[in-house]
Amino acid sequence: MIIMDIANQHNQQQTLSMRQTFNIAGKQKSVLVAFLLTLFFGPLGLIYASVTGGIVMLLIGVAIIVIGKLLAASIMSLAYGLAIVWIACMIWGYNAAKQTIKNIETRITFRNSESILYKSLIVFLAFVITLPLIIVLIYIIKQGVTQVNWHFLTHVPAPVGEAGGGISNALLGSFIMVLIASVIAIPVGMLAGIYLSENPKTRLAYYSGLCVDILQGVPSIVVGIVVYFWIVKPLGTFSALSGSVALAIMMLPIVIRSTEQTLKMLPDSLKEAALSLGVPYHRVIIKVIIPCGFAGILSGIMLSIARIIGETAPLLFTAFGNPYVSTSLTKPMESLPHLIFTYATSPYDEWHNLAWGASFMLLMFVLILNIVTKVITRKWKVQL
Amino acid sequence: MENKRLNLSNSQLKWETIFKRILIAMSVLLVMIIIGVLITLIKESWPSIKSLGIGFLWGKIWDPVQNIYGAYPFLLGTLLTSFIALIISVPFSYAIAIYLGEYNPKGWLSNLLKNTIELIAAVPSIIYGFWGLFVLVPIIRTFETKIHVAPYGIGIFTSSLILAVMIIPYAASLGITLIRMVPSPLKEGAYALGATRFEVIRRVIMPYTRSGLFAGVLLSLGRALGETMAVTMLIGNTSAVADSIKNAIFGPGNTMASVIANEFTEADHTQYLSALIELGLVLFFVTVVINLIGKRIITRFTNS
Repeated sequence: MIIMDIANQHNQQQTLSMRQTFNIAGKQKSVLVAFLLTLFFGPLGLIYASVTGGIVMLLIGVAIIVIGKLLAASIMSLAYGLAIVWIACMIWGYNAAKQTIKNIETRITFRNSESILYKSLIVFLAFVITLPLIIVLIYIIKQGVTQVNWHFLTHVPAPVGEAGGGISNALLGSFIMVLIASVIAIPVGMLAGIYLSENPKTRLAYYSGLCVDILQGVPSIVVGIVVYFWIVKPLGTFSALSGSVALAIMMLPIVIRSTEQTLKMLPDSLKEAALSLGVPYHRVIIKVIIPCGFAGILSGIMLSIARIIGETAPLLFTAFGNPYVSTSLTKPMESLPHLIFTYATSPYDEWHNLAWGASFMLLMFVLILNIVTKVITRKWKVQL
Repeated sequence: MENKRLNLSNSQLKWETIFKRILIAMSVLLVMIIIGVLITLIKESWPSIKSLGIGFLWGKIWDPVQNIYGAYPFLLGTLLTSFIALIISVPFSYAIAIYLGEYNPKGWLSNLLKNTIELIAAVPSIIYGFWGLFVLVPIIRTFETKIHVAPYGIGIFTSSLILAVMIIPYAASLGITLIRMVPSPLKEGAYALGATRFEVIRRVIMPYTRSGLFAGVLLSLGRALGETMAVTMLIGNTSAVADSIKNAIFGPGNTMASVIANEFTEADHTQYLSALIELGLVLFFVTVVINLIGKRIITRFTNS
């Protein structure tokens, strides 16, 4: 169907451009001249390449000015509107002049150079965007690596004005909360994922699949609000437990989707062979299906841990933060990202240094988790 | 002997039913979570919904001290940051999608670039925010002095820049998959007609993948709307509406997510708190709708 559509579209465009060629091709016009004229004179310059285009664009420009005056818009917004018209003129002029080139050889050279130019633009844009990431990574590593030593890892943050101090409370807190979140989310996520892959056609599967999609899109701050009302308010205090639950909710969709995708790719014959030997269903799942898809599920779990270990927003109203080492689940608990947030927005240089060190640690955790996941997926040839 | 075997298979049968029930229970749990989220949000924001009505959305003043609540400054801030970020990020995501999908789909360079793009998404937003606060803000400040706007450094524009980098991977990685799915007979047909590579991309690949690429942009948008930490650190947190376009873009502002992050723990009376939660409810609805539309388009695209 789509192929037909595109073929049609293509035909239409082809005939259109041929018609244009025959109609206007009376006189050959220089692309460069058309480009320069439109660059400097906008709609007026466009008249050289295409008379209709020039008139249309002039009318649109006048309309924008008139409407702008009627609405009493500011000079700036008028300028933006006219700038858009200007750019449209340049594109129109370029295209119109391109159509008038008569010599086949010139046309081909022209189209080839256009293609090369486009490719260089694409390559440039695609690679230039890795720069911000590299700059961020280098900067964090440079700032953070000098902070990290044994003292830094084993002490709580120093009070204002004192040098030294570490992030042991945040390290321990992050570890505990991620651990509890995993304990909650991994079984639930795997079981739900198994259900979705085993019964893809049922009504329940449709709705829970929809819910996974929704859950994936829920902003993390909203999860924080909701868990605040589910756990923090009834208990009357910020607690590590509530933080873990919030993180578990963030983790669920990734675990579910990766389990589902991995299991769906396993051949049915595996399951059928086991069932035909008289193995009960639950043992087939546990002993055959899960081990076969283990690498895929594992990489999904690791990706989800890498995701939640850096989540701050759901912890703001749940685990809250704590300047001391705490292992109690019903008390506020510090975490790496939350520590970075509080200390980064503080006015003290010592605290900033602490935050750089913590950022470095967090970044290392995330990078290592991601790289190990990559290695797993490559070694076991999993497609995520 | 016979009896024992029967017992065994009976107990296995029992376990099988239990296992199946657990599977169903977990799926039901998912649905319950979403319904629970919705009910909690609506219930807790009810005082605000009841007293302020729909006018809450375009009330221009947010003043908790006077007990006046209007969401307009935050809606504006959220839309501005997200759309500026989208405008900046779309050319890059398209470029990555076309480069890795069409020009260079295999080989070490392509793998390296793809992994790098995925790493952009993996870096926690708090780190982008921290880096932005100490590195990007001074740069933007100098830039703002040069173009003669008030040199805040922090503000809508700065957060949009960081957001743009953060959301690129979402549209890009979907785009790569979709562009690789374009059937080669289509492309080869166009080449056989004498089309250049640029023309194949523009007239065959782009029309074929257009809806999918649009879905990728929607997913990016969903991310941008809900992004909290980096924006909270960089946006400057002012609840006043800017007086001119220049100030709206370069001046400080607030998004829905950032105002919740900043004021939720400070909200001292019910009205204030429920107004904040209503913002959360609006955010929830908007992101969910955008995400679901995106997902729907992708499913339709990959199935046909």
